[in-house]
Amino acid sequence: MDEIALINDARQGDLDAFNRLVLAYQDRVYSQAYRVLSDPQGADDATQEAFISAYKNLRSFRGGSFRAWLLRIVTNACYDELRRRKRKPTTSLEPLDDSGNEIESPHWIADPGELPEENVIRAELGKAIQNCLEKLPVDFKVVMVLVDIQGMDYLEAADVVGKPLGTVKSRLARARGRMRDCLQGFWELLPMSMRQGS
Amino acid sequence: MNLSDRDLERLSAYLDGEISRKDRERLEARLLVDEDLSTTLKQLQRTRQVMRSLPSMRAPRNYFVTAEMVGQKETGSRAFPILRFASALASVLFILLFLGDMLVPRAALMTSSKTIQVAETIMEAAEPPVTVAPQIESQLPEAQADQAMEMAPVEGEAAAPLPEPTLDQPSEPAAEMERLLATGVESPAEESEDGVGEVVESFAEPNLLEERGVIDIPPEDETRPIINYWKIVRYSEIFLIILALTTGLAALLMYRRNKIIP
Repeated sequence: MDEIALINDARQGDLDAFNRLVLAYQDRVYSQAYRVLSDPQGADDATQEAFISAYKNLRSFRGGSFRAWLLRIVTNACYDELRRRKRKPTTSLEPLDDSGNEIESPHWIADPGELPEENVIRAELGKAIQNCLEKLPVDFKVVMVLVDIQGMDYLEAADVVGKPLGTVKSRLARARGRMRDCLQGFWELLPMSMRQGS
Repeated sequence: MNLSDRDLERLSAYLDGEISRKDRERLEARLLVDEDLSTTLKQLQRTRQVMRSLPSMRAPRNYFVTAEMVGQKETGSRAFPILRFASALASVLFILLFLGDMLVPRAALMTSSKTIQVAETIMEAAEPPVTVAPQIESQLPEAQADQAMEMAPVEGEAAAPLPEPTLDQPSEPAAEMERLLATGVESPAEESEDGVGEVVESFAEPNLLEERGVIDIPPEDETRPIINYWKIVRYSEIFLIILALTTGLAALLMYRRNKIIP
């Protein structure tokens, strides 16, 4: 896929070209939205909104990493969504567990090659991670998702959030510290390879 | 474990290789002696590993952007049904016209049209001597006609009665007219003062006669109505097939351009 050519075509109003870019990046964009919002419906809306906004503002893209540019847009869409929720709190239709947290469908972490027991453990671990992520302040969460899940370096993450490198370092360190504390009770869910050295 | 935020930050950055060489050497020296620092580093490393081990998520659906979503003018999609309809209509009309053209016995019509044309030509040739003479007479000014009547007995000294004009033997004025017609330009039409020359001149030039309403010469087009009809059919067929092809092609291009990637 010639990304630059597709971007140029999309700038000329070619929706087909832009939709090829959508196909290439929609998983990452949705993942970012879902990890930040912890809500499939909200993530769905934010992702669609982000792509629409990206298309409308394609002329403002000045080169560089298109992925980082898209993730910045979806992150901003997530901030907007969170602000909206603060103003108008809604009741989730998802079932809640004993502690009042939503019981999410862990279909996205299912590996068809896994044994049922491993599948359950992985699902539990995934749920635990998501719950811990949810408890993080949104600024910490965003940086942690960008670096540890999206695999960005500090500079790229700083570009996405629009903050200095030092801020990104600081937020990431604090997010990792809080995650470590939150995940203390779930270490037994980790695969053997991860438990070594603890 | 009482680690400062600064130490946590250094450890986190150390894991990612985002630390200066000087800070790294200093941190590595401390890790050798500080057990708490070393344990925290392992815990952070494991946390980071867990986060990175999360499988990538898949979008639950495709997030294609449509023209409607971005408020783009959908001139293409609006024009598409019109073009498609125009193409279909033009095709149907063309087929009907073409079939009609093939089914009607054109050769027979052509023959009859030629026959009519020949007959009309013969009729036109036969009519002038009979029909024009009385008309010319009526064209003469009344006073001149009276004068002609008075002059007639003087000229005819034999006082013989004038023979009745018949169709087989044209009357004298008619014969005179034919003679003048035969001589054509030699007749002193311009010099004539009694107006007869003018009428003869008019007769010699059919256009003038037609302009004055003396005779009614049908236009050439009216003599070939069927031939013209077939010309119209031909042109219509060509127009319709071009219309069907161009609108169809435009609709196809528009469809392919606006089609969403599967």
